Amino acid sequence: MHYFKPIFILTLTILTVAILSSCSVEGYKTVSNSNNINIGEIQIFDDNFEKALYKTDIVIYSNNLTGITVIKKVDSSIRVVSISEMGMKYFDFEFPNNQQYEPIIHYIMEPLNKKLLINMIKKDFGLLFYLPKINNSQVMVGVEDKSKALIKHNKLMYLSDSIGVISQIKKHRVLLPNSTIITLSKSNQPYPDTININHGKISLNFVKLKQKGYGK
Amino acid sequence: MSSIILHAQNDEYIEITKIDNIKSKLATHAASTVSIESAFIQEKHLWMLDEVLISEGEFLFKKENSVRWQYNTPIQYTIVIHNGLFTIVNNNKISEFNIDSNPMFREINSMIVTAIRGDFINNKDFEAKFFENTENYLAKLVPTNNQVSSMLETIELYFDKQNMQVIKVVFSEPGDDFTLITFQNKKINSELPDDRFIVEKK
Repeated sequence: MHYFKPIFILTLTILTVAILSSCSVEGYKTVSNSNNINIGEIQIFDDNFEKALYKTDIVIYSNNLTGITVIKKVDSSIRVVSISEMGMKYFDFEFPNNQQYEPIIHYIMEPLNKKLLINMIKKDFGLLFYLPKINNSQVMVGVEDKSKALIKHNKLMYLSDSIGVISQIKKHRVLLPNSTIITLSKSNQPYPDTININHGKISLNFVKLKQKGYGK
Repeated sequence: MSSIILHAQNDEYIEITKIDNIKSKLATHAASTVSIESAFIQEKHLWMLDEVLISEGEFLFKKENSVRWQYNTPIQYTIVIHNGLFTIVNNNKISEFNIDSNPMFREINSMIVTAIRGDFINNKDFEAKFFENTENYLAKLVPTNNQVSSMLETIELYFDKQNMQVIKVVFSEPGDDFTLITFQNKKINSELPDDRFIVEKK
């Protein structure tokens, strides 16, 4: 029994550190008076978003696909269509507003038709379009800059530079540094200027393009 | 299938059954075309989204096998085929591929050059049908390669009957989406120095 004691203590210490680290985030503190902040609903594509055009750079292992992506609100969903510069379609996904329905794959080019990639596209765009409802107990604010906020929801952390404008989505990992899945930048448009989705050897980068008719 | 296709201006295209005449015209035109310099407008029609994405650029061709396909708006992107090399310039990043060593670039090169030369009669990669109306000839190509046909249902090339020059190309995908490329301000057989096909490495 004595033999197991050091292992037990070590395990307990690791678990304690893991639990504590999952509750605290460096640079952020819990809000003592939750009335001081009002996060309300967080959005990445605002309610008045209509459509956006992005220059696109997709890296899948060492293969590079470039082109243009249209993200457009249609009747009861959001469509994401990526094409090459020469007009060849890479993929066409539909994300119903009602999250109870699965995203629909209207088209995916055969070389990209891999379960791993399809699930990644569904999950990552799902993170952009389906944001959780937040209560103030999930919110932490910056220790030095109180306009910064961190919202914890299940295993995800949403970071905002100014209240309500999401700049990063991170995944919380026990005993490992949190991994950044999505980095965003946004100006005064109802959608992000840049979207960077990073899974190491697979990444998707979108940079807003200016073209007539694409403002909302 | 009906041999009559309705044109946008209601100018009917009727299938040509005896293709010797058009074959000879295409061959004569291809033989006499040394170079092409043209602006182009590319319209990507996404039917379900009710969207048309417009790109504009410049197209150059020089015999035997030099092509420059340069997009200027909304993004800058250039493909150059010259001296057996397939070069892509994207965001000032230059990528070079040997055409013969890469099956995909070999296929793209073959399709571009085939279309420019009008060399698609008796070409095993396509089933070709020909149509005409008062002003134009239309060559409708159906890819025979399964990999190509999964992405591209038909290629339609429209020729001006007066001079046999390609005026527009339509790439139709399975479903209702298509890409329309219209050529404008064409200069045929103008002096095109080789350096127009050489990508400057900064």
